[in-house]
Amino acid sequence: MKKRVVITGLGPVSALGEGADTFWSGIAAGRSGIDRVSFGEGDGALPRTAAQVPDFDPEKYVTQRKSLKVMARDIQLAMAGASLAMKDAGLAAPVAEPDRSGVIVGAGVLNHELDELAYSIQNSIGEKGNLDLKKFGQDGIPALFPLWLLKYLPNMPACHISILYDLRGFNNTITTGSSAGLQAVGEAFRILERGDADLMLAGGADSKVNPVGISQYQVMKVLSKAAETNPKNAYKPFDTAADGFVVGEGAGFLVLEELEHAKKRGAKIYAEITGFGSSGPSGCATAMKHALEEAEIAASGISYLQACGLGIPEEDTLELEALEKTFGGAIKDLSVGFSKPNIGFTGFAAGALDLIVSTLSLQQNTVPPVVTRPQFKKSSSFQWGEKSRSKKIQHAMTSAFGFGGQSASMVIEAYEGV
Amino acid sequence: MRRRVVITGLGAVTPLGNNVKDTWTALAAGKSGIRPITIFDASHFPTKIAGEIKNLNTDAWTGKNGSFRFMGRNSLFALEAAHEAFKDAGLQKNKLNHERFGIYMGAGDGGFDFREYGEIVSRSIDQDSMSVNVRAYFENVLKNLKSAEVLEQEPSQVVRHLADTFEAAGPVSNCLTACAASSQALGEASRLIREGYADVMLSGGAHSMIHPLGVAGFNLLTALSTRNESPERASRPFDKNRDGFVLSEGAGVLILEELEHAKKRGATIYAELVGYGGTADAFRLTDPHSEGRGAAQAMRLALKDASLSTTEIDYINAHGTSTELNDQIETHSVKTVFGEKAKQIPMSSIKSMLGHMIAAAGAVELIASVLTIRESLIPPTINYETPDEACDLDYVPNQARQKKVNTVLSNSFGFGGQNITLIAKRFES
Repeated sequence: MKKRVVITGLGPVSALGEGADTFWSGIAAGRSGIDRVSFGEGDGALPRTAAQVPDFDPEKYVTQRKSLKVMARDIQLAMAGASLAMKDAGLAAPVAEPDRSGVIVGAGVLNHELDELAYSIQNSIGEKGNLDLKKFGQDGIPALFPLWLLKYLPNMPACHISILYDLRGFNNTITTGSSAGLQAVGEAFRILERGDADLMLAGGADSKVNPVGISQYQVMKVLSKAAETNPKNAYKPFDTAADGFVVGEGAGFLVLEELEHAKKRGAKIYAEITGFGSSGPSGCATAMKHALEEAEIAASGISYLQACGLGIPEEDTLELEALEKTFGGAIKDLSVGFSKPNIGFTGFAAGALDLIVSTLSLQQNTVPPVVTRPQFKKSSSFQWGEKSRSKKIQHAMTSAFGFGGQSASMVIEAYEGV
Repeated sequence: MRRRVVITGLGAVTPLGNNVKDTWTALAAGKSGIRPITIFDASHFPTKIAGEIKNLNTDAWTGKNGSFRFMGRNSLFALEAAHEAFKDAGLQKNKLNHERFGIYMGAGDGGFDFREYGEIVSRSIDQDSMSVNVRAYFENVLKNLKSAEVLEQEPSQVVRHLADTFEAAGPVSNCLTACAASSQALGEASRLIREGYADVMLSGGAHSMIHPLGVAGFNLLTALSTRNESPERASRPFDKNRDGFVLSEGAGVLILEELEHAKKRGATIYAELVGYGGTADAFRLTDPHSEGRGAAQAMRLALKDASLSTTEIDYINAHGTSTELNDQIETHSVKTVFGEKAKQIPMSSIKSMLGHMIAAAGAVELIASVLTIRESLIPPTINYETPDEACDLDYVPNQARQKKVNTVLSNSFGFGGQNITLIAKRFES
């Protein structure tokens, strides 16, 4: 018999602020955390519309300064998200049953800080202005921060979190691009379901709101131009005028527990996870199909869909086609929301933050608004509103697709105490 | 009844050969794949040696297709090994139920051209402040980097290419838990089959950290051997004079299959994957737990999962990195789990020959474990010369050993504290 798995803690960190209450009030009110940001002197040439976590202070979550020094901002955000989720679940460090508790983080290549390399590289320039590896070997390497590698290894967020909370069970780092956060939660669900743990902390963290990240996205030509002049209103996923995304940053973490474990400690239960599917880069519809099959409901049984809605025209078209394939005629009645106009595209964190939105929507029985009023390019469209509205949400689906990542989809269900 | 998971295909690209057969022949002969670094000029690095992939010919599947041009070494190795494994398993795309066929890799990042990038940074440095001018950097990046180049750095690209190439529409994932990654991927892939989410999984790992920043990063952590004058003798797990691990690169891919599915299509069954255990040290970023707490627990969980007692393990394929701490603590944790019996179980480290393929290491080690069962031959730990009192087990020194082996326990411990143990067993219907 497969174990039942419930969500008992939420830890969002985004441009809307820190913690579930702040997050939900921003989402429900249709606020956008997107704004013009600064990258210091000479940043005039860069795209500077982004969704940055306001006044983020990592020392609130990481008390040891020595540890902070070896954490890229992504890792600091992960620590914040994990800490908020655990606190929300009423859990403190260290956990009571370390061997039965684990962590899975969605991550990937972390951006380095530019000036960290500058001195080392300056030491390594040959006479013709080329990078001379002989000089780098001799004078460049000693000029690097000795623990440089630790700061950027993708598995480090999960390591730091496991040390902070003494999580000695399964420890994994999922690197599937923009689906990584949701995939991480899906894999934690599988581990609990098969009985290999009782408690899993899962989610993702990402920060590309820096010159390295912005420059790379610009090389890939995926950033919205319109949002440069109109930060609050121009990021429009699924819109006929969609022209790319706005980069965001943040972390989304959830505490998952085996149902009996949660009940025994009297935990607050947000929802039950009943289905998950993942597939390859072109497998949006397959991932949704598998999640629905596992949840044993028809597509028409989904009362709320948290869409991916990246805002890249080709990706949006693929997602709409997958939705049409999955929902058929029911798509016209489907209530849909998407968070990227509120919090930007948060990369490895995106799927987990979206799962937090749908978890709160389900718990509050509220369909959150879509802030940028999309004009659809296709005749078929789903239900969305400019204002929050009440609706009994029994089943919610969350999807994370595309942009170099794989496809993932999850179904959660209202938990009614049986 | 629980669904059984068997191994039906193998593929490898290693410093000892660009396929399974050549790799195994060299392992059995106790050869080293470690040489001076040629991928870049490492002549002035503290470490100048590594296990590189040489003469890889991917024409069979790349053809003239230019889309492979920007692929990282990780993706090239993965695709090559996957083609070998897929063929070895006798799988045919048109006969597979694509939605029941998935991919779970432990693949590393694609790396990037450090010289090109270094020059971008150097041209952007403001000489007065010695800091990077953001505008100049941005403009230099746009001028020099290509979209595909940037995208290929992400570890997710490996599974993306594999899923596209082999038309896998079932569960797809990639994990990157440092040196434990591909073992963890194989463990999770086997669970997906056992729990009924897939019938066939292509799983393993691929990685290359033999680039200037990779070598520099590990050098700064003083983790690498600097025995530059004798590359073939540099990786010496459990030897008293070991001085760090030797970086290498490559890929290992296995086809995992649900038993009935394999039988129905008459597949050759190499072995059964019967045990998987995973833990975290939750101790320190750089050092394993001093008592090997997490390592021992991973072995216990895998044994329990396999319903095997400690007396039923015939051979241990060690993580055996050739670092001071790993080898000592792995030895200690094996003794903790196996007690007095530990000394009677042969335990070798093929990293002595292959070096450390980081994310790809575990998959190649599972392939070697499977072949150990099949060939009744235990590959040696080479370069074992001087016993270390803290490492007092039977490491199968220097010479392969003939022995009937029915069960193999294979360890992989990640930098940062992830511990994975897999157990493979001779297949009995």
